[in-house]
Amino acid sequence: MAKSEQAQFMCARVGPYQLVFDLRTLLSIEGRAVVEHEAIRGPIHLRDWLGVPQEENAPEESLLILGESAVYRFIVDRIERLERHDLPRIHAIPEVLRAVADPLFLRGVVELDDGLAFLVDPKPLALATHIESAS
Amino acid sequence: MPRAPDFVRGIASLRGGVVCVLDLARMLGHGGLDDEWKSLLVVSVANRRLGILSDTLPDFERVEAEELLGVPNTDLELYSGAVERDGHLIGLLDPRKLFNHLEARLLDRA
Repeated sequence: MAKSEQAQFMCARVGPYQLVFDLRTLLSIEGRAVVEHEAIRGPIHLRDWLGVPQEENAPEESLLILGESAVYRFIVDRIERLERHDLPRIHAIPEVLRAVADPLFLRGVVELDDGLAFLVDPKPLALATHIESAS
Repeated sequence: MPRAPDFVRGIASLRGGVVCVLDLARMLGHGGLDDEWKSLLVVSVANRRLGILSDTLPDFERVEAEELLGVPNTDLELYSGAVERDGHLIGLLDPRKLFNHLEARLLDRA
């Protein structure tokens, strides 16, 4: 199958949820080696965003995305692995759940080798959380 | 499903797509099925599909038209009618009404 019919995803875990980011949306994967820089906004804790309670001593790893005019840091529990999948393994969110998924910027569902994962659209999510935290 | 009510149990992969999985017992306030479910009933309306957890294995029953009773008097408008079996009233779920009800509940929460 041609490469153009596949997409690469960075898989991450946040509480009970498996998430994936389209690799093209990521600027950098920091893991636990966080570089402090005034130009980086955030952090945006995806546990908070997804309604998962914070846990003391829970692992944290981070990744950076380039937004419209800034770099944002996202915090997840674990960055797990890179996977490449054929486009037919990417599905729309079931229509009945759009009212819940759209405000969270969950754009689809990807069939990974070990289960389903929500596809996150990080740029508008970063903008939304930035506006929310500023207001 | 993040930020979904607890009667939405998640999503499942099913024959080339994904469906929302619903714990109908929990949605109706009859307690949840937890992990004791045995089958997933898939209903489809206008190309939209919904999975409903069941704690029994599927069974089929033929209902004659003259056996149909009126719509049960409940708070939730989910039924298209009812039928009596062994002294029990069995509501006939209307998938279209179920979708509408679920969408309204989720919109309220969004």
